[in-house]
Amino acid sequence: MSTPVEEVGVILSQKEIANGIFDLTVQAPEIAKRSLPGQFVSVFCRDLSRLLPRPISIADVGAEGTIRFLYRVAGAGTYEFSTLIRGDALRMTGPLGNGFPEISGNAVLFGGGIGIFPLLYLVKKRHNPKDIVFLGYRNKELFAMEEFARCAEVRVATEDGSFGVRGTVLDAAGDLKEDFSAVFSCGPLPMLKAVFAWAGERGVQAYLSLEERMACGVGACLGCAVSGKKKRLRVCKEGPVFSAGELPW
Amino acid sequence: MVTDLSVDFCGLTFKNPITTASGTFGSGMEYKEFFDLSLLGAVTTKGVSIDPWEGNEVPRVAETPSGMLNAIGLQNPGVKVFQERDLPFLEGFDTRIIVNVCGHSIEEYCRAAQALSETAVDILEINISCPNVAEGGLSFGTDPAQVLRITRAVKDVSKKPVFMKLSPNVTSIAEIAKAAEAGGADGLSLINTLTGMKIDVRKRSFFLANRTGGLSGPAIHPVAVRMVYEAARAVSLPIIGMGGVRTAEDALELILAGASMVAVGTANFHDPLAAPRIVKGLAEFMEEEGIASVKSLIGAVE
Ligand SMILES: Cc1cc2nc3c(=O)[nH]c(=O)nc-3n(C[C@H](O)[C@H](O)[C@H](O)COP(=O)(O)OP(=O)(O)OC[C@H]3O[C@@H](n4cnc5c(N)ncnc54)[C@H](O)[C@@H]3O)c2cc1C
Ligand SMILES: Cc1cc2nc3c(=O)[nH]c(=O)nc-3n(C[C@H](O)[C@H](O)[C@H](O)COP(=O)(O)O)c2cc1C
Ligand code: FES
Repeated sequence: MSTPVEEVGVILSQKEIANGIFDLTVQAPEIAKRSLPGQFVSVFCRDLSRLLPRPISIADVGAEGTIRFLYRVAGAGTYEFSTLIRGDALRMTGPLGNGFPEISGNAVLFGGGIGIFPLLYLVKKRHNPKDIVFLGYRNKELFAMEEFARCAEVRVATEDGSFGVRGTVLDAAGDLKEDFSAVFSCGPLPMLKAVFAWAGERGVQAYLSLEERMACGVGACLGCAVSGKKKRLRVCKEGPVFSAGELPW
Repeated sequence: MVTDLSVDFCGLTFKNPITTASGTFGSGMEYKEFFDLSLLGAVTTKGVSIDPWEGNEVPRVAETPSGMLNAIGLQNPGVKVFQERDLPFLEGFDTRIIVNVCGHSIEEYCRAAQALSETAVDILEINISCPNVAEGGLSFGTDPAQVLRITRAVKDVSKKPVFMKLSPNVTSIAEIAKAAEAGGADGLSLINTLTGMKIDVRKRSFFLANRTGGLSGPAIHPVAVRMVYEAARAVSLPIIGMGGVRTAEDALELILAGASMVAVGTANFHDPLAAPRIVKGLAEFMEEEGIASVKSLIGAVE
């Protein structure tokens, strides 16, 4: 893992790809060249009343020193980001956290909601057409799905049943017949716990990306330290990706 | 003009008056990736106790307007690990080491202070905002009689200068400061966080797992300036001032109010380079204003 840096990036483009979901590309060569799938960046607001960094996953890295964020407007900070336009500055520190391990063989990936985003860079980097990616959406606003489909096999679940299987990604996975050597997942906690159990039943190693409230984002404050199997784990430092064996579920 | 940023107290010289606020900087390992810790006058560590502490459940932090709440619960690996892992790391830098100490009882504080006295640390900073188990979990720091007792007990077993870190959750900071002085403290650190609470209105429940948390950040800066001023007038001890410092000007306010050194806390989260930037800003300010030594500014408000 390379050391993180502070960098003031420059916005190259931003567009709303679904209701309240934004696709932002920033020129930030120092962070870009260090980034691995599953790592995240601390993004800072301009409004000084919002001091803490917003952790956003690296959704992709371009060859020209760009990084891409896909994010949902969840509150005032992400709203502020959504108003940025080409040429605006964005202060960041990163890359942070450990990222997904490199594992050969075919993988199954589960992404739910905003948890889909960190999987995009992973799927692109793996570029294994035999990987199976389960994507869980609220409705048929299937953001980023086509990009996934260019690198791997995609199966979709929607909460309202308007596309693919009605229900969760686990409903879509059912009793998967294919052989695979690892599971990668990011999404809401109930989904991660279900994926944990699903992989456990099949005896396959799962790598799960957790979310937690952060303050420093770099491992210093212990604000994000969740209970692990043996000791507390800092989501920003030992994580956000944990192997199933580290978690006390 | 050559500006002199150095300050001295307790027979120690600090190359500049900027340190880090306990708990916001770990032992510096994470921030050394961003800058050379030797740029600081001192590094103040996360609180350590004689035995390891687990800390609270998550969520432990919440953002608030111009500040944040935290309820980490003083998670730390204990004095032994600190001594074996963190201290040798810090000794590798040309900066002073202030170690923050916590405990559940006077005995726990004393054991930690005693053990740490045998090491290379320069100052012991005693966090008396910890819950006093014997007194039903109330903080040691809110009752002058208890402050006097704990100060005296820790002083008796310590071979290093002892700074008492005061809680702002009191009616009269001057009374508490005097109690620490009467107990033999070598200095004071203030302010710790102000107790607060945040409620998630949609979930109709507490935002932090611990329900209450300590408020820090620029939101508390004016409270810190007032309290440092009142403490400085009440006692003749050196003061490490802290609370919401984000810029060199914020640090200067605390220095003018009476602080000999200033700690940068929550601002580290907003900018990992905040502390060295404040050192640089101080030097620039002094040059612009034609001030030869920062010492001339300590307590100089009139
Ligand atoms: C490792 C990690 C990676 C993430 N990656 C993405 C991503 O790629 N795309 C995306 O849309 N979202 C992502 N999130 C969630 C994102 O950080 C929050 O939606 C965002 O911080 C909300 O900020 P806000 O100011 O809009 O909301 P507010 O609710 O106003 O934020 C208030 C405070 O709470 C924090 N906060 C709020 N929601 C979350 C949350 N879910 N997780 C952690 N902190 C939160 C904020 O950082 C801020 O400090 C990620 C979270 C983590 C922990
Ligand atoms: C996350 C966090 C952890 C803290 N941990 C400690 C601690 O272990 N011991 C202590 O004395 N103070 C602790 N504090 C208080 C700070 O050292 C400081 O007194 C306070 O935050 C005010 O300064 P600031 O506004 O610059 O952060 C902590 C503060 C924060 C935000
Ligand atoms: S957010 Fe500070 S340790 Fe993770």
